[in-house]
Amino acid sequence: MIFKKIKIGIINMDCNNMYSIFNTLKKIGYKTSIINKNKSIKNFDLVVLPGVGSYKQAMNSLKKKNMDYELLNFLEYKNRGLMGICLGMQLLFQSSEEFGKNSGLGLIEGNVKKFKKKLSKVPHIGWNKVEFRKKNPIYSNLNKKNFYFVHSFYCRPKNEKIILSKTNYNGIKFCSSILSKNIIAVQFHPEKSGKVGVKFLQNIHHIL
Amino acid sequence: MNLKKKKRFIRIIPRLDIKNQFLIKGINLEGLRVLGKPYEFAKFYSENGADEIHYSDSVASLYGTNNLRELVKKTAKHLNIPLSIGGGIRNLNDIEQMLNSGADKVFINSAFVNNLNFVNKAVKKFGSSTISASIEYIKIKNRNYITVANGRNIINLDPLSWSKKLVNEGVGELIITSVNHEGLMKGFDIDIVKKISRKFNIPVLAHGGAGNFFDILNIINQTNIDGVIFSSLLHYETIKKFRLPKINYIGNIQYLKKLNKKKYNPKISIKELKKFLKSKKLNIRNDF
Repeated sequence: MIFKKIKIGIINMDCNNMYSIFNTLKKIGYKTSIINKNKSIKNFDLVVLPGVGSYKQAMNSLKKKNMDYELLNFLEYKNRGLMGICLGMQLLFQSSEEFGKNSGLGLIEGNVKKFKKKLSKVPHIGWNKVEFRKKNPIYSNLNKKNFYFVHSFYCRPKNEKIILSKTNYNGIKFCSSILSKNIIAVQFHPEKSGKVGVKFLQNIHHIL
Repeated sequence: MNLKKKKRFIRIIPRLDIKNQFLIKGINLEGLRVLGKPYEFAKFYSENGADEIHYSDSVASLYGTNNLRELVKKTAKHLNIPLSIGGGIRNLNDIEQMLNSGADKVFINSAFVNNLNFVNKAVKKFGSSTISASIEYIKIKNRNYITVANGRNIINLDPLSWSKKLVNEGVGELIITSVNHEGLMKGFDIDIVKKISRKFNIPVLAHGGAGNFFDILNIINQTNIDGVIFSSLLHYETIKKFRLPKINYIGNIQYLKKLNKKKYNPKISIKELKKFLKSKKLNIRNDF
């Protein structure tokens, strides 16, 4: 199996829910481990930035471990990839307006905005269709399938060309995933999206 | 705010009441029966189309203990849909432990009633989408009161004004349970749920009373809820699929044994409920 050969490291940001993504990736067959402070991220093919928690706390945790700098270096190596999930996606951008303005990793140009309460219920919790716009093996057979979302903020990339999918939440069409070179980031939780999510995670090695 | 026209998405959520690592079920949150192993039921429901699983440790908040963790870990291993945990969560550390064990969200009642400041602290640390408030209310002489410790202690506060306080503190979701209707399988109490779900711009889930698919359809159509939580309707059917655990039973074990021997009826399942709701043009996930 191809999965066995791929080493995935999940960055511990001291803000939980690594357990689910860790379990799911391991079950699929990927060689999965948790990246704590001392482990070098160079050893991994794919690094996952997971996400539940607050933007500021997650950024502080990454900076404390010098992970912001390490990630920049990591992306320079050949055949390596980075996947952001939910908050992990938002952290890749330049800034977020969560509890005041916060700066992010800045790997992707753009910012993170809050849903307007007037238009819809916030947070957005539930299963919604993900409409992919580009042709890509990562989502083969998964177009318009339902994935699980739980968030109050959404990403607005400056370069619209990197938008991999959009999702309609009560009339608001937001960017639900991006693909930019060797970076993939998703607002939904593939590890919580049942069989559909497992299929998605089985495909992510295509970004390498 | 009327989201009806925008086609609300409805989550279907089985709730599993837990006591000492076992799945139990009572009536009006009291009078408990052991039904089986929670993770077996949770896994089955997940494969059958549940959008989320709720675990509620009904005695944790009474005794102030928190032995759910091992069970949450075990369950999270079997599940790849969201798992929300409630019961006995008193502080930030309890929340963190639940999330570290594999929970995706927590729901809290007593600790919020005891200390409203805790809501904002929890939301700031874990994000509003991780923190739900559970409101369990009881009707006495035409007045509604919120309760804590599974309906045992009555608080002089009505559910609507309590909801407002919780929403102002930034809570991410409200779970509304009518203690009078819970476990009776005679339909939901629609009035309060209607008021709360229409007033606030956060997700609202209704729990307590589902006796058949029409009860569920009714509460969805007459309110602005985002999900329905139910248990008895499912558990008493699903129990026929699994072996009863070997423990010292109290209560009406004959009833359970009899039920356990009957043939499982797949018509009473989440899959069938979803088919039914879909046929009524509701926005339901059915690509599981």
